[in-house]
Amino acid sequence: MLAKLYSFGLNGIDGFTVEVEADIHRGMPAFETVGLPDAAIKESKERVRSAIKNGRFQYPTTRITVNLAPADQKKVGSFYDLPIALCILAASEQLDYERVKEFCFLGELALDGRVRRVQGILPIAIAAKESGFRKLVIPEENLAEASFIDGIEIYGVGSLGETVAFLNGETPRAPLTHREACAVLKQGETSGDFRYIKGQYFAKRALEIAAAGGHNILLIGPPGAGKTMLAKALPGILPDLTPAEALETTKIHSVAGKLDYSEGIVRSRPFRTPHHTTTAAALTGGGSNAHPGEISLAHNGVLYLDELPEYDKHVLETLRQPLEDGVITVARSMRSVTYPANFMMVASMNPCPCGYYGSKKRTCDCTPAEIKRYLGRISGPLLDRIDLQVEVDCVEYSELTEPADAEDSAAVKTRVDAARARQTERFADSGVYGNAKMTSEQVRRFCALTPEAKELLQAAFERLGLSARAYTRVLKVARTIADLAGDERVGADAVMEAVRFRSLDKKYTF
Amino acid sequence: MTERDFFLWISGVPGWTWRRDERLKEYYGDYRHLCERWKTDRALIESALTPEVYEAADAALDPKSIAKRAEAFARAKINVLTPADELYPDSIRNMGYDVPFILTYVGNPELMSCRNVAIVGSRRSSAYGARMTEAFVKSLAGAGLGIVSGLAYGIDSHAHRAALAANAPTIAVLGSGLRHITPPSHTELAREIVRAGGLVVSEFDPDFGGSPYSYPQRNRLIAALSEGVLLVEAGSKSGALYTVDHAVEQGKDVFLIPAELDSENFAGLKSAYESGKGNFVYAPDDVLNALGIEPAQNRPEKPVLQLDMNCQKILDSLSAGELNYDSLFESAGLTHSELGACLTKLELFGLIGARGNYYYRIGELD
Repeated sequence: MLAKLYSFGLNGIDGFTVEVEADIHRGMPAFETVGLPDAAIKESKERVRSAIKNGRFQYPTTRITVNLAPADQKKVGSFYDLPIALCILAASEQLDYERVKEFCFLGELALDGRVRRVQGILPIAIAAKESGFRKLVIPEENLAEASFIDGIEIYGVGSLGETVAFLNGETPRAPLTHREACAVLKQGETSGDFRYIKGQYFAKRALEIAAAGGHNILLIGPPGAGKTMLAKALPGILPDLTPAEALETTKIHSVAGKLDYSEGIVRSRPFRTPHHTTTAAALTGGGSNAHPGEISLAHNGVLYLDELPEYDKHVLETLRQPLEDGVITVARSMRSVTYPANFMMVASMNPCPCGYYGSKKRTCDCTPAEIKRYLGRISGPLLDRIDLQVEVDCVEYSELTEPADAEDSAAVKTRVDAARARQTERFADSGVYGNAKMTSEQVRRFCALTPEAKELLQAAFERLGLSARAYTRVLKVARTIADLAGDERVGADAVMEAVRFRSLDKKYTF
Repeated sequence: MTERDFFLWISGVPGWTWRRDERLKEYYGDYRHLCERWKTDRALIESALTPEVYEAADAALDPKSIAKRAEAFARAKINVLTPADELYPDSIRNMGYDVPFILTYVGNPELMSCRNVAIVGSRRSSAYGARMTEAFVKSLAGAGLGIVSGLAYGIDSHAHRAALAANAPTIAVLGSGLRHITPPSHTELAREIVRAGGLVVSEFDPDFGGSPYSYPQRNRLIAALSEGVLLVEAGSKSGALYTVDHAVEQGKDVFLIPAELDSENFAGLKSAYESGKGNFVYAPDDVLNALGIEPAQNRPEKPVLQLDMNCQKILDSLSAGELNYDSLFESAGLTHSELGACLTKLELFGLIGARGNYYYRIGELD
């Protein structure tokens, strides 16, 4: 007899429908899986057989053929254990086939019949809903993650036996109750609060501007200046994730298997810190399965690159396209996948190989050629995409021991949120989320300068040796500064302050 | 053969040094005389030049190869001066030792006969050194002096750049051939100097890539072209000290600009002072007085600036010395926007200078 039911597969962060068919016919006992399965699926026959036997069902001792359609699309993962087992039970008439048809199933089986969690449930649940399915059966452990999807009945199951009892109508179950994503979103725990960072007003101001406008930022300073500490405090002042952003980010983390299953959703903006030995594939995504990389995991959050010049140059160059477009397309021989990668880049570096060029702490003993070579590891086009360049130096001992606490992150965040709200209103329906991502058309429209500001900016470019390409960067930063101040127009003060954040343009003359 | 050809010829013979040439000149007086007796007096000339040099020179003594040499310069668009030319500066011709047979140059050669001062110093200059260089160049250039230096890293390049900024003529004397600007990253600076009507000059053939000896060697030309040498910062083994020695040898004034006492760039100044080679100066006018030059009477009037309260406050804070942004933020009690705007404005007016975007100090010296 033949049975067919529905399951799902993943291509990138998009799900697609998979029909699972099982045919039982006379012949020597055998189990054949066709339909471009990967190794995990091929091995599933062993798990399925044991699970069926240990679940006290009858394993048909005949020839079994399982087909996964569409046959030309590669299927990956352990989603199909549960649907295959159910298909075999239905084909051998141990299950009420009529009732099974309206469901789709996902789940990995343990040998004793338990159902184990799988990766990528969220995008699949979304795809199931969008392709018109009304009922979805998933592993219990994945429930938290799926509960944010509305408009589809989701049932969690713990074992094969439970599933069969439920499908045969012996133990009725209520579908999972839907949770609103915004109810669980909160500020994530951050590893640092601005309150504990003494001094460093300049760097903190720059981080505030970066957070408010989504600007990329580069911190330059000697070892021990607190660059890492400053960067780690950044998540505390970032605006909260919106429910839509949270779901999008969760999709990626779910596919990558990086999701905290008890939470079920990415609650705060991700802060990814790939080490400088990272490869291009780890950063942008890749592998035979075209997995999402660090930049996609940092989607809607922060990608922190410590010691920027230590990264392999060609690895850094791969960041250029995603920094511009907010997406990354990973092409592999078998498939090509596009992942969202809309992140804020925060980088830190020493000003020279010894680390003390321009510092008060110690004199630098690098030669100009050494410094040039060091800076040369970061290409101009990449530096071009960094709006804020900030120098930091070690804090004096007296400042460290000063008793008064600095302003805390919550206070800064209030200002950042207000500035973001202004931008959301301004960019409504334009697909742009922050000042940093403005198109040149939008720069013209929204960064109109007052005559006084225009004159001063021109003078600044002529007198202070700023490069021409810094121009739009300065305007965008000025726009954010005006937003933080609550100003409709970009005034002279905002532009003049924005000029302060271009240091690499003029720092190095030998 | 013209005298110019003669110099083109012997400048291409390695080992035909000025000293040996002088010996020949003592005997023969005129170069024509020497050329006439070149074959007949072989033994005598060999004793002055050594046989190897005679061989090499003899091989090159041929109107065709001399013309070819001249052509090669022309093709590289490089001009050549020999002591036979009128534009060849007297200051070098009368140096009294090691006078180069050729000067290759790009730019305006007349600058070499104008009044110049040299500014030299450490290749690893500090921010303070850069600041002093700029301040002195500005005033000296204002009094009508040209600025001579060596296009090296550090003080040299600051001196050239400051001269360019002040629209003053500047001369770069290279220790390598003109087609091998050293350091290579200053090629653009050299171009800028030429574009601005300055001069880049070298005593070497264009294809010479420089050697450890050629740089100290060219320092004698830097001293010769200048009425005085200013030493800004110099470590104990700084190459700039050779320029000082040459200046002393040539009877030129050496002015020492005090470096920061605790920096290693003070050692060279100290040794120069202690050995009596030069004296400390404390302002550009000291240099002008010593050279007998009237300070520029019509200095550009400082524009009367309308400084607001905030800017004034920051200037007051900075009067005590260099401060970083964070201290300014704490002491001035302004918002970030106000402070940032003030700093940019003050920098635009030239009232303060910034190191990167963190350290600030009062900018104008005089």
